[in-house]
Amino acid sequence: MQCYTEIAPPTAVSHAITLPFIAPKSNNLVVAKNSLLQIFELKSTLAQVPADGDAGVENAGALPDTEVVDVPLQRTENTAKLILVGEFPLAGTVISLARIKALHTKSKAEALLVAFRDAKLSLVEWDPETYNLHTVSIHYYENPDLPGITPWSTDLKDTYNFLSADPSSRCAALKFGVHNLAILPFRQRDLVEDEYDSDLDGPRDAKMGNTDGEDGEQAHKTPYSSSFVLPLTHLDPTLTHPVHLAFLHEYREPTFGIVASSKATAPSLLVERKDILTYTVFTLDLEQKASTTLLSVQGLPYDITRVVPLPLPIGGALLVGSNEIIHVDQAGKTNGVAANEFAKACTSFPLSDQSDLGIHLEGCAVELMSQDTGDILIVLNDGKLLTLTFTLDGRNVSGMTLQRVAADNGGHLLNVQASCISNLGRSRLFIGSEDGESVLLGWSSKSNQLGRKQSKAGVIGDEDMSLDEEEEDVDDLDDDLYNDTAATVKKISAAAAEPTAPGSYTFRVHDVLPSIAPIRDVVLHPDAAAQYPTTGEIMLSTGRGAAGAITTLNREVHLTNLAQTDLASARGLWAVHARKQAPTGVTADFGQDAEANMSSDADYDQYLVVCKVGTDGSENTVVYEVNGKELEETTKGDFEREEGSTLSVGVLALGTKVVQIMRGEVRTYDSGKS
Amino acid sequence: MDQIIPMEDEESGAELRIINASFADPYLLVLRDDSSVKIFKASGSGEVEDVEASGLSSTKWLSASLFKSSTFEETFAFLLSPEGGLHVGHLRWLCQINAHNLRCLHCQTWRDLTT
Repeated sequence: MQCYTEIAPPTAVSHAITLPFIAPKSNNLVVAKNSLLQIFELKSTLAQVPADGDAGVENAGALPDTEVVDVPLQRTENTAKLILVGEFPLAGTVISLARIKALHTKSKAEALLVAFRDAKLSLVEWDPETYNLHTVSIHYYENPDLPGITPWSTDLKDTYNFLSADPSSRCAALKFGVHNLAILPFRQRDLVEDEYDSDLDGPRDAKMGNTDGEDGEQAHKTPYSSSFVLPLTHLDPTLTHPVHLAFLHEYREPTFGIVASSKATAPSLLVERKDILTYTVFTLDLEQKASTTLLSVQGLPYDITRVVPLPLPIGGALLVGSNEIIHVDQAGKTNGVAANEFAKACTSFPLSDQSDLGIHLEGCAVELMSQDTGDILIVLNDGKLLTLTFTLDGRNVSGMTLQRVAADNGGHLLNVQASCISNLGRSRLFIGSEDGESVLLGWSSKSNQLGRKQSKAGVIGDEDMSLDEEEEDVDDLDDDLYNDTAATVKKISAAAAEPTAPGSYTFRVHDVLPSIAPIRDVVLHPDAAAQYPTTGEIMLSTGRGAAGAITTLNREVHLTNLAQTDLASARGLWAVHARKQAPTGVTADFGQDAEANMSSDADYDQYLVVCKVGTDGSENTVVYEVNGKELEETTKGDFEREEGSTLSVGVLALGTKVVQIMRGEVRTYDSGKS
Repeated sequence: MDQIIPMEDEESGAELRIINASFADPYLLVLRDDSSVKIFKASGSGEVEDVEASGLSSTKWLSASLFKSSTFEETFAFLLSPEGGLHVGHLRWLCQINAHNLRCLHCQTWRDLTT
């Protein structure tokens, strides 16, 4: 029964993920606002940015995100904007999002796995024909007969449930209940082909994709095979209290690292239960439903809450706690850094000391920032930015350093806690928040340390440089350890073996998703006029902490009058936005001359053509030139003014030709000569 | 001023008045008061030229407009016939194909205009 009407949709961003969703080469940001799913794509525009005093022309070349105009006072920079492709209300509250490279999707791009509260998984794909989401499958695990669910265990809705997907999309795991893991394996393309070759004689034909070996299942229609529930205690009886798990990069089989213990951790019981957490890495054999332990690290501090897997060049995983961060590499070697004075008090795990920073890591968001250097961006719970950089010894991590980002470099741009963070590639990060606005941050680096791109002519810097360059294919670096090893080692040794210098990253806000969440209080302010009881405003108190604000909701758009001019007896008016014609000699094939269109010395004329009716019925045309907010009558231009009425005025040929449609004829004018 | 394109009926030579015009760079569609439609294209040399649209020129139309969007590569023409039918066509097709055939985009079939 619908007994309410939604007047404002959810605006608090709870989860975000980047994946090619609409098309195989697209770069989409999928944002979950608890029960609303929005799909965005990025569009680059040139925007004027006021230059700082010290960022002179000589420095600008090192900032990869800028396109420098010769005049140093005004810089145009590539700014990315989020364009909404579609939004879809969901039946349920999203608790996790994961990207899956599923077979045979309608859009040939990747699919999205959405985990809902109450242990439900939904695999969705984009349907380009209906321009809508299409649910491939729904999996739910509320069955009370499942192993591990006992009458006295906590309800499914009260446990910490989350989803983790294998980076190579071999499977996904939903941790639900007290210690259950639901594994959903996904079919891989090469598995199907191998089965065909060994079982059937005869040439491959078009049917190959449809048959599925000897078991006769109709499973070729689904991109996944049957899922199973694995209580974590089957893997290891001591895993009764799991804290967090995540699938790791760069393994031949799906492998995950899990932080768990046999007793619940508690700060009040530090005397007895100090350092009881263990980090274990398990490899799953999906066929046999068995696992192998690869490594185990004991004695972790009680406050570790998260496992963040790292791709190349660093590898391994980061264990993030409230007082320290520990890196565990593939061999089990650990490096930790203490971020505040409590770390030494609560643990005896060996940590390097940076407690003078006094950073509180509760509620932080962690994301890989730079694929080349392996630097990590951390957003603290008050919005301040932090970078984590590694010291490498060959291919091994020998140390980590935390560095605050100074206010001059954009470290104080955000003022609220981040709920999610997603790397969009090309030096852009989306930081979502449930307490305030979500932002699209772009960053640039002044570091000259990476030798990898120094061979590019005239370019110093380590990130993607130009609009034309294709985005780095991240999948290249996810290759198996046995392939491309030589190329990867070269990349790493050229990468900074030294930690990145502090202050080398600068952040800038490109775009913002406004938010009115959380709404604390509402006041209705009806209009004074009594005969319109439904108009008026709703005043809300929104936001949390430094993002607190008062917001007004209106039913109508309220226009702000910028300027007003009287044009007596005007019958019709048209705005002409004409461009000077390209100089002769330049290829004038109209079409995709995007570079010329974008060039900042393209000259624009702005005219307003008005057709007026005189008192005697005769019509004439007047042309005004628009200067900011002023209108000035001009005799420029050969527009036919006297004889006939103008029906319409438009531009053709990418703005270089102005066409005046009169009652009996069509006239064209070159915009340059007028 | 560059060009003056007079509106004339091809057979009788009588002057026609323009009812409506629609712009979709580089095309221009003009609807005249005898219900005929003419399509012009701005060519690379800067001239605006009449395009032979034999599919359209022999039929009467009540209303016509062009549509262009960043989502599609093609420019479309939407035409309303006096019988009340809505015809939609790729503009490039209309200017190239032979007479009397207009592709109905909705049901993906060819539809003969004269029937």
